[in-house]
Amino acid sequence: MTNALTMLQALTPEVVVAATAFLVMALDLRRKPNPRAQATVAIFGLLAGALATLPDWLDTTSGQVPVALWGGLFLADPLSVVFRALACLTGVLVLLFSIDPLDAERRNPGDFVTLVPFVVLGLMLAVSAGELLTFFVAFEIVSLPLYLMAAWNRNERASAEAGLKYFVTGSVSSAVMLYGISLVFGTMGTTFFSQIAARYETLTDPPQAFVLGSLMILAALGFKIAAAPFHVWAPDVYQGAPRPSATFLSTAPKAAMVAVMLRLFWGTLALQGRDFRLAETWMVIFAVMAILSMFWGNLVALVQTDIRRLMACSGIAHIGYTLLGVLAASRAGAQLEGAAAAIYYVVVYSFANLAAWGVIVLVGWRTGSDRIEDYSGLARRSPFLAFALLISLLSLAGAPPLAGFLGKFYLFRALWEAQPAWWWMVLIGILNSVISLYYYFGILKPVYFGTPRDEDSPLPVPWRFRAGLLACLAVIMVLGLYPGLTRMTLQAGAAVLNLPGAP
Amino acid sequence: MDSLVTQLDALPLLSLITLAPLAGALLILCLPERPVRTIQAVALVATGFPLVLAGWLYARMLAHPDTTGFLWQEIHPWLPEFGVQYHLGVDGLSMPMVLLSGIICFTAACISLQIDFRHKEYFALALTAMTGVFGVFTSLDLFLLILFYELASIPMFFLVGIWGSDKTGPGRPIRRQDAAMKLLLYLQLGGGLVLLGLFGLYFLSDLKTFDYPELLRATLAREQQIWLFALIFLGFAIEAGLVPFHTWLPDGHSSAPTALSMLLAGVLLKMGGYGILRVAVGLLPEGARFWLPLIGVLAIVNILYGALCALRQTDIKLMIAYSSVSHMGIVFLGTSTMASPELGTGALFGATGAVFQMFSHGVITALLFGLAGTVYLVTHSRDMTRWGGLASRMPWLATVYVLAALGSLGLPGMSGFAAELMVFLGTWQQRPFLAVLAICGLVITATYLLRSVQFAFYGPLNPRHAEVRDALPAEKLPLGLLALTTLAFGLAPRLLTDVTTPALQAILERLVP
Repeated sequence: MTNALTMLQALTPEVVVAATAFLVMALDLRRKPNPRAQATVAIFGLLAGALATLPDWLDTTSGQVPVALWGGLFLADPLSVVFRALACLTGVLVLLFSIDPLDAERRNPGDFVTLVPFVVLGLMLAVSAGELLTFFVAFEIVSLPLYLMAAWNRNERASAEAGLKYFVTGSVSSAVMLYGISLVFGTMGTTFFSQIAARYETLTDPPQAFVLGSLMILAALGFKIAAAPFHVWAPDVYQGAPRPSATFLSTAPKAAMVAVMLRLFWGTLALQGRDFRLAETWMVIFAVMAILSMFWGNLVALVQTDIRRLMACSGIAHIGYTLLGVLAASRAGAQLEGAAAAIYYVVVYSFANLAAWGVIVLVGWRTGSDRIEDYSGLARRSPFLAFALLISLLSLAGAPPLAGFLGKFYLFRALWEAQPAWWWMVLIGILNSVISLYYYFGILKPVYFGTPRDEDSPLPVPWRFRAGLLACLAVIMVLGLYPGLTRMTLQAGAAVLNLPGAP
Repeated sequence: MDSLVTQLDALPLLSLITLAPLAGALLILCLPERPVRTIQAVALVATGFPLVLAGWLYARMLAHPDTTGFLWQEIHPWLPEFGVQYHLGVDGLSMPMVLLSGIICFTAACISLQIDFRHKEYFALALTAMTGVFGVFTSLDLFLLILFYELASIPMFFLVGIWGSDKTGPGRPIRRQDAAMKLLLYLQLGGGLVLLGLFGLYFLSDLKTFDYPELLRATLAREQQIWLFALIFLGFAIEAGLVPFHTWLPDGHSSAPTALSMLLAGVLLKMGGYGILRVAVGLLPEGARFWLPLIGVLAIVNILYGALCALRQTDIKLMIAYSSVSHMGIVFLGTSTMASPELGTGALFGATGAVFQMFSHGVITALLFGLAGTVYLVTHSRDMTRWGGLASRMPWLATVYVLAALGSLGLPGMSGFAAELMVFLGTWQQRPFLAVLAICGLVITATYLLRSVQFAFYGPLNPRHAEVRDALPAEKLPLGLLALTTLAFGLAPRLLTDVTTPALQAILERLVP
């Protein structure tokens, strides 16, 4: 039963974030805007948004039925709670890492700060959407501000090019997604996830147009998460876009779209109910995407000299690993483990990536360079920054006892559980982790072994960066060994399978 | 007295041994960069304490030679959903390795006093690696084992890359940064293969646990065992320096700073050998019976190839590193005799010899590296042909070097002799031809070691070294301790065999068809 009170509780985080977004926008309209104050307001607003997901979490995990508003249009289940909170925290960290450089370089910091809560709001709606059109609208709320952010330094060729590239490819992918949605609606007569699932169960053979539509949706999502073969835009955009924008681009949308992928595919579009062969086909498609992403990302990263391009490639590779979990979630008996592993991995990836990008933003801002050789002697110039980079890259590389190791461990375990005959995929995953060590430690080599160019040049770390980096490191180091988090992801994984509102 | 022992047993003794270095590392991170003495003192305490504790536990195990099973176990739930727990314990196979780690870690920390820059980072990293080393030998949960394995290998990258030395002079130059990367990639590849094998054990046994005593009950089909054994063996063998996967070893060991060479050659290689005995042979008897005969042949390649390469070197650290390749071959050879435990006592001889060789080689190689590093400190050259006649200037170091070289080539009365004799006796009973080839390797070993003694310490004195000093007291303590250990275990081999025999017999019983 949804009464006004549960509805209000379920929607509180969105209401808080939306209010923050408009408040920050209003602050920007003053005669003499103060971007730092705006950023502070936005940070506290987003933190409040993250906190507001807590009652939902406590309710849904204490055995109560997850809330589904408006007939399943908006879902407040553990999956959406995890990713709504993650979106808010990502927004906070991006704000911490972006306000100082943008303000110092006078690049419209106020407008940038205004856009961040809107992106977060879009992400929150996207992960809680239980209906295709709601999801599409949320997806666009995310995309439009991000196009702007990519082109933020519009007077710089690289940034303008990145923005244009991202916009054109992004628009095409939105169009593809919309067309896919229309095909699904045309064949199923509804856009509600739960109803699609129910209809699907009654069919003996899924209509071809439905499968085509699902494929189109997958392609569009693949574009957003930069999974091969839809990844080509990523290195150019990450390198060209301003560093704070790239920080945002490389984490928040990816995490949210992985959640949507889990919900949409294994809950709705690729059900294995009657037609098991189709689920096998989906598995093969996901496997191909995963293998291509891992190999492309890791092999191309080996030869990069620009750290932003390198991180783009590493991001593609990490989406490849995550897809292994998504793939595992397709299989009866391992759905829970697969979904949980993918969720855990993408959460951990987000924090490790945010920490690494935090360092890249700061170093890039202070030195104006992203060449890996210019990181030479960072350990001497700022031991803290070097340590933050060390821990985040070690976690990305999967070194214990950091969260990244546990994440990879869960993924491989889930994959084997799901499909023991595909144990060689685990081998591919492990080989890729070894390959990735080369370039992650290739960054750490100048950082720790090199000597700084000019001996007395300590890099000061502003408190905002320090706070943000410390928060990320705490997550990577402490939660990696804390068993509670795995239980949380298991519950979130369970939500993928039990769609509330299903008849 | 008894009540005191009971009270002490209530403490988490193995956790104290394992985590003491890590605690030291964390403490050092909180200390200021200066004074250096405080940092060094913390490091010595954090390694001395586990040594004392390990020695005490070893002595107690020695006093009750008939005990079987795992002692001083600690079990705490950690990730119950995944069948992972914090489970420590030791038996007769791991206890000598724990003692070895204690000795090597403490002596390496003493030798580390020679480090003269970036002390804080150095000791923090080295102590972290030491916790990993102890953890591999004390953990009874295989997930924990892999975790500690990685914890031991990752800091090596930084330790070799920052504090190591480049090889110049005749032959192929080796840059320490490249050596560090090579070492890291090989060790991680080995770890990855082992992890894959462990996943196989976890799922195929249907037990869904990484707990070692639980996994002993697993019943796996023969084909599955053969595949899993190949994976796990290969993973650990890369770390133990099996030819042709050994190339990281000479580069890494010779480029590392002295104390790290000691740690790498002394215990890191043994993690591989121990893993093969504990996990591969211990859990997969059918796989072991299939593969071990072939491994015997590979072992001969290791022994001869390593020895021939060592013969070619003029760089003393490279020579010692290649001698490690050769001596790890003897460990492989000893392990391979376990293939046919039904044929008399050969298998027990071979297995005991393998463990003894791991212990003995750990101590002797650490001693050799320690000596080479100490001499390098005063001569500034690793090329031993340019040392010449140093015995007259550094009699103490020269005496101990001769002692170590004789121990390494297997002179009776030293631990190396006892170890090699047991391996050869075991092999002879099963495959005399292999034993003959292995003994040929010993002749080459004697050649290069005696040649190095002659180059480095005898002959005409190189005038450039007319003013060099002998070992300082701070260097005599760790080197002397190592030398005494090899003498003690050589003169009384029962000190080790009494401890290992019950555990090895338990493994061999599983191998009998």
